Amino acid sequence: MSDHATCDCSRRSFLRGSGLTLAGLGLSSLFPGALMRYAMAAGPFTSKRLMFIFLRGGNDGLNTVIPAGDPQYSVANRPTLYIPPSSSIDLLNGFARLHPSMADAMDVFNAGDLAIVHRVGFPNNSRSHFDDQRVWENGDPATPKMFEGWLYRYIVENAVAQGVDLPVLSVQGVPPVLLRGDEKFVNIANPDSFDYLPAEPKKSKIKNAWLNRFTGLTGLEPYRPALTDTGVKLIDTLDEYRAWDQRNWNPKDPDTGFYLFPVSDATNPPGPTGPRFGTNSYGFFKSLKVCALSLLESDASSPNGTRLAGTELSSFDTHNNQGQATGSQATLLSWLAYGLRSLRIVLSGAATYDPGQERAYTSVWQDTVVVTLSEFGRTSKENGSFGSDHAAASCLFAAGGAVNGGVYNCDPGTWPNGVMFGDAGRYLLVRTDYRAIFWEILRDHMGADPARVDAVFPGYSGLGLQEVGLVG
Amino acid sequence: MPRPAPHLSAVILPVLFILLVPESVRAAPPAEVAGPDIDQASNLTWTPTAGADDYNVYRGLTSWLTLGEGAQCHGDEIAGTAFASPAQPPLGQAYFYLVTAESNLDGEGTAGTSSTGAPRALRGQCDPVMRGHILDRTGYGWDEWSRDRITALGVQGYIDEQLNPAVIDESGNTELNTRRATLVPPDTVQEMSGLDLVNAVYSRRQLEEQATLFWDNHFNTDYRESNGFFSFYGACPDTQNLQAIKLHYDLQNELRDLAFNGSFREILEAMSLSPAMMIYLNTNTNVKAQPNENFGRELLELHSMSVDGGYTQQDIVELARVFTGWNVCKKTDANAADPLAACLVISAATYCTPSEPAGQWVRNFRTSQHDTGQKVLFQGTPYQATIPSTAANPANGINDVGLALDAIVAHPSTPKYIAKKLLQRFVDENPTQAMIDAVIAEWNDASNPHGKGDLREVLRSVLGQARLRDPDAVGNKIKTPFEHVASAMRAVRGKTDGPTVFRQYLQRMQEAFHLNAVPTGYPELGGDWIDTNNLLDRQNFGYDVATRTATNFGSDVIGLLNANGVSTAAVPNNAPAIVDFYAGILFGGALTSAERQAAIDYLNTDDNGATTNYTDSRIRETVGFMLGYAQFTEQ
Repeated sequence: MSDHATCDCSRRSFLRGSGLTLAGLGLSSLFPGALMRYAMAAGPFTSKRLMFIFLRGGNDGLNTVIPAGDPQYSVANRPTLYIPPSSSIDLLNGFARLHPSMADAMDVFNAGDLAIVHRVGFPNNSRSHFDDQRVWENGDPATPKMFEGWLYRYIVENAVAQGVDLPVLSVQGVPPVLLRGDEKFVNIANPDSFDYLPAEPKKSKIKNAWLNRFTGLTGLEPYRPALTDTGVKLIDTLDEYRAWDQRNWNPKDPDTGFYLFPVSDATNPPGPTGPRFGTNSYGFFKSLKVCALSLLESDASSPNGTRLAGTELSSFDTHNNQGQATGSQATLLSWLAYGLRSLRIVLSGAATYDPGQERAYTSVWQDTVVVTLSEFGRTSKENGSFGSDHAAASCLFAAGGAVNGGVYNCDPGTWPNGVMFGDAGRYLLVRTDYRAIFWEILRDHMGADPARVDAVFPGYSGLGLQEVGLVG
Repeated sequence: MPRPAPHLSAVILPVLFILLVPESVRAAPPAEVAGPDIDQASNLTWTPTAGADDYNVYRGLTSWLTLGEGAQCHGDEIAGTAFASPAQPPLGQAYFYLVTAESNLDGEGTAGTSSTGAPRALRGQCDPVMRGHILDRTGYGWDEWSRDRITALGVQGYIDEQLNPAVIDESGNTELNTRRATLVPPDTVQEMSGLDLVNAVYSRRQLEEQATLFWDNHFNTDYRESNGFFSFYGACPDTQNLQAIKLHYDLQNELRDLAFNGSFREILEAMSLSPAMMIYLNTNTNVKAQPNENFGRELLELHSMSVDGGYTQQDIVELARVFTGWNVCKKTDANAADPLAACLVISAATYCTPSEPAGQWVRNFRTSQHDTGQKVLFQGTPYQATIPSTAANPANGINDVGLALDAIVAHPSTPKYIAKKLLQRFVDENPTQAMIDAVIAEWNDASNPHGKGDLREVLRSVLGQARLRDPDAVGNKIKTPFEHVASAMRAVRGKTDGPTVFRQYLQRMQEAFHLNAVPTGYPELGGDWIDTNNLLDRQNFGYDVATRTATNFGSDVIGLLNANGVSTAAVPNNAPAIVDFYAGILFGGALTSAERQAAIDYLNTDDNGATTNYTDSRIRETVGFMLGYAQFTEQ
């Protein structure tokens, strides 16, 4: 199998979900272009939303959601990484505790809106970042080199994108494999400069001229369809994005008055000894902010609705100096926690604003699930560099109004003795396959067609995977 | 096939090229080719045409005929009067073919006229399209020097010369040398990436730049890690930045030297023990009491054998032990080249003061920190290698790295992986097994000047694959952001002092050299680069550089046109010639008539849609517009 997408995805992505055939439409192009997209009838319209946050590098689940009831979580195994109960947060099931820097997430947890699922992964992972990230995103451990996302296949299967201007948005450096497939979706790497350079009227002149060129692209070069799709989508999106005016959207916590997305020194909440978050957090919070705005700007009754958005947070590959209650992992987790807390407030329509910047959005929190991913957890035993190495199972978070909050897979019944070294004598053993988690969310929250599960996660129906009931 | 004289192109679309033979000597190009026929097996044949030295075949989809869009070069410089075209059209489509006859002296003949009497449209002519393609693939695209050189030497001659950078004279290259003078050696990472751009834009040794940056990316290192290593220079940040970037500059120079004068074995050792790499992947803190697997894993997975190459976790463990004891320290200049020589003992108080002992930061081997036990690589396979214990004479542990690298390079997965990567970079994103085998065969030729894995000869083999010269391969790859930016600069007599402006673009396009945290380096495949963000910034970059004229970041579009005989006066209107000249630069002339007309209209229309005389500004804006065409980002 080559290193690039090898499935005959073109026909599949085009035919499935629409029920139409190429011959029936008499098209000259094999791939759906802008013209095709709008010509199709609008698909079954859903108000449900999904946001993903990929924690890249392999998040150490054992220090994030601490199995305090497991004697193998110990100073002996983790001399400098061990977080004692006195430093961590009780998750109220007599076994699991939360990393102290995730205190903000407790607001979501205490409202019953946060599901914390441990021991998630897939069997026989390679422990290679690149392969395992791809597997988490392509939904098929058997084909780690395949570049098509399970979320992409869900979109195509369920016609989520039909008739919609901006159904899917990623806000990160490059589009994640989660969303990759033959049709291209919008990715914004630089939210503050996502527009053509010249001012009006030159902007419209060149924009319209390029739109005409990209709409009409022919040629036998293999990337022409992708360039057409991308070029047209880009131009279609620019006006809408400009209208969101994300730079002037600065929602605040109604209780504290702090800004919910620290994207600058001015919007950075105060901490005990100065600004709360480092300036290197601003990029992540900006991405989160734009994702949230896209879900709010989409109106359930309008076809111009973003339903899927996501971003990533990097640097979880803590081989050296991971830290414990404070340190590099702790800092990243604090951003994630503040982000989850802010998302709940903002997506509930509860944010307040500075004078002159007021906006009103209806709550979409009941319709939203925010979920994290990470390619693997880290070695149960600390390494020689005050860090941990690549391992197997880790934990993930799912937040949303309709989520069945609580702790899964981290209690005496689901965490028997020995699981911390249950995989190859070094790694936390997987209990729940990642595909079960995401299929649950797609089927029970997003309304994916149950009969089409194998099209989204190849071979799923034959696997007998146990789900945990975190939605529905 | 040997070419006795520079090749001329006749005027089909009104595209003007440099005439190297006086007009009066040139006869008419050959006539339209007669008797074209195609059989059931898609073999084309035609009648020999008087005056033809060879033929070109063009191909298009029949659906283009109604759109008036031209056929694309499909067979280039065909010697006989037959051509096989076995590829099937897409479902529900049909191909049509056109054949032209070419004379070496008199140019390419017509493709004839259609039943309406209109000339049959070609989407670019084979010769300029192929030349542009080769310039894109072996370097960073067209500029005036490269255009003249490839015209003078022909494609094969040009490639051969580029494979021998030492003979390409840069002494007269003022654009390059004046800019290098301010950037060499670089004091900061900004200057280093500015230098990368200056080299790519202005150097005549285009292939050398491509190869150097290929290896620099393949052996990715991150400047921020080096900068962090030198945190003890915090009180003198200039020194911190300088010492940090020096590691990457030195490494890049080693890669540059070895790329045409060395073997893969040598380049693997050079980068493994480079301070930049030792810091980046933690060899620097790898000691026998606590071996660190980070470098060992990436050495196998990313640098040599690839993740499917057949190594195991045990091999990573063994390699970690091999590299124990190596680190980075400061030594006197006299001792700098000796890994066993003593490091300078530097009291923390002397950093940033004149009392700090003089010297340089280099690789060092600490016998006491090295695991002297026996190591076995690839155990139980035909490639098993035993590195004997050095307990009896621990200083010999310094040789473990060499023995381990010998074993890795001897493993067949190594040439297989490197051959494929090189082919993906220069020739085809999906190289055939035959191509890979051919390159591996060259790799294994021990009689090459640098033995097995001779990097120049391997590259020659890569560039010698027929697929590189296949017209169907033109435009099949996508330029990386750096390639797009550099080629845009070259196409407009771009001016840069180095770092200004373009670095922001490259960061936004997610390709900032020396600042990539991920050891895989930046991807090579188009699918990894095409997205709305990248396209937006590519289009913005082209518009930006074309419309600015400053010397620290700008271009000289008007000067380029005028120097090549294209009038930019508003009257008489010369829009078609201006557009055609630029189409030749940017796409080898490969435009449809609609794409051409759109650019002419853009040039003739003001911001409010009225037809008015163009100005120099509007000429630049039009070039910016054309730089945003899809074709320009393909290569």
